[in-house]
Amino acid sequence: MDYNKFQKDLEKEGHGDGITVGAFFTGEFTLYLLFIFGALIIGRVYGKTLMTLFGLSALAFSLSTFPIIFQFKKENSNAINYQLFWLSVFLGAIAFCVYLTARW
Amino acid sequence: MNFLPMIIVFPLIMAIIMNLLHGKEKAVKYLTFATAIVLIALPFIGEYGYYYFSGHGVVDGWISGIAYLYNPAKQAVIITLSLIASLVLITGMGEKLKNNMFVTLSLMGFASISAIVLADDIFNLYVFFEIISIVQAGLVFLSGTEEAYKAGLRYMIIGSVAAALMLLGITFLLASTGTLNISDMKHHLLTDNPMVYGGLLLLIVGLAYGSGLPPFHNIKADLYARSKGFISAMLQTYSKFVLVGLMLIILKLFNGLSYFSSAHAVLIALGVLAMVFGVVMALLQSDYKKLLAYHAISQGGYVATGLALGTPLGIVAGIFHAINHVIYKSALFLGAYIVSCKRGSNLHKLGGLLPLMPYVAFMVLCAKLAISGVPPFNGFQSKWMLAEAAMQVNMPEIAIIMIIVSIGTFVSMMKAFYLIYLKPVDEETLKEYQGKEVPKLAVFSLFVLTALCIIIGLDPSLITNYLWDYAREIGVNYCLK
Repeated sequence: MDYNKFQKDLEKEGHGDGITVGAFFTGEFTLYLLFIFGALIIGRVYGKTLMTLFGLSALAFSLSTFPIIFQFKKENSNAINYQLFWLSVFLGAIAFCVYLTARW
Repeated sequence: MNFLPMIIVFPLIMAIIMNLLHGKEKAVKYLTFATAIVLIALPFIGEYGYYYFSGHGVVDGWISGIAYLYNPAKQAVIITLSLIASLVLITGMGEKLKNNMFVTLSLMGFASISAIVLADDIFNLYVFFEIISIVQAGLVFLSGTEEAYKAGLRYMIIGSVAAALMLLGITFLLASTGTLNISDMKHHLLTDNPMVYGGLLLLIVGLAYGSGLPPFHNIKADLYARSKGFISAMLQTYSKFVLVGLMLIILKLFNGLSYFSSAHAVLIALGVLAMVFGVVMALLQSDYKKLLAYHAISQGGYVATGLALGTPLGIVAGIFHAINHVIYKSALFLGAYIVSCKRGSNLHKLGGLLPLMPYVAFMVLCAKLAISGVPPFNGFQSKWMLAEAAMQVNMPEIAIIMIIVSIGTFVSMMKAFYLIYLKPVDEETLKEYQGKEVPKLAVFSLFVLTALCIIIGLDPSLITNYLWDYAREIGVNYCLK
């Protein structure tokens, strides 16, 4: 991870000071750690080691596209089109998960 | 005689009276103070057990009409709610404009949240769920800024989708069980069918909207960030107790049923995502109120995760964290309100406030350490219990994520503390600060909340003793293989 490149990206947004860069870095690492531990627990719940390995290799790939934090910030914008898009994804995803246990 | 309904009826009556007193500022202030004192007494006037409104009760073997259930766990939640509401009302007395509208809406909010927590009938819950959505938007509109209107309208637009879906879910459950009473409904949910699945699914949508879990976290955070600091304290308290109220109902209805397993996983995932998304977004903020708003989402994630684990320990930890969170987060929002009276909330324009208000800085630091989970504050006790609950069900990954999120919380809180209180500023800025007064009522409320952070941190059993019985009643012990 190139700290200087990260700082330059932040300077474009007018927040290139050390404390803000540190906070952005912490956010970046927190997201990666969520992916790692998320992959581990999902793999454990469904008892599939292959799935965990696949998840971790996807994570390794995403690491090469560093940083993801700017994209994450964009997706969390308050624009109503983003909101409605993620609401639709959410409805689809939880419907899939909840109906996964259906027996009829 | 059982005065339980007064918890809901009294604030509603006072809200109407306040509305009639438009323009009479002195009368509103005296009455607000009196109401704030009475609110603290309200949780102690009801008797434990079921209460059937208007004496309907059991008719032909079915429970009809509005029903409330009161127990020590619900009492602990309502005591906290009344305390925060009283302190916010007292702080709001320092404001000059639109005071009676603020008091009216806050009291309506108090009544709605009390009803959601007490409700043992799912339609009554929905009615107050709708009222609280409108109240929250109204409280944001009181700020009077363009951004506040946008945030409120966005919340209402998305709410029109989410709340309608929740109502549809309630209808599905009614169609498949024939009752709206929660205690009755539980007996008819033992076998699954598509309607029950649909009902559960749509209840989760309502839960996510009401409590600010993903994907509704951004609109909720925007709502907190665009309000005045002391109003944000009230708004986040409402959301946290909507989360507790709805989650307890979902657990009461479905916990332990074989077909609940996938939905159970969805609820845990929503909690974890809220924790992480909230803290990551908080780390990216340069506006203090937005930073606190996203932390409110993140801490809501902790509460949701604890409750979603569904074990007695998880439920106790979840409710305990909700109570702790509303206390220290209200303190932080009041701190932000005090700071904003000096010079707004843009972190890069603030600084050097420590010598001007050392006591406020100390109290805010205590609240920041509490939210970061540092001992001996209350946040440490509940986060410890949450991690313990995750370990108990053999999900150490969740405990690790909780610790990582706490580290992120600490980083962003210390960043904000440095930029507001410690960063050196020029003479001109100091002169500007000195020309502006600190709201004394807000400092008083901040003091009470900080003292509570320390007292509960030193003796958590003051709260947890209230929670165990109900948690054992609806919790189910299990362990992931």
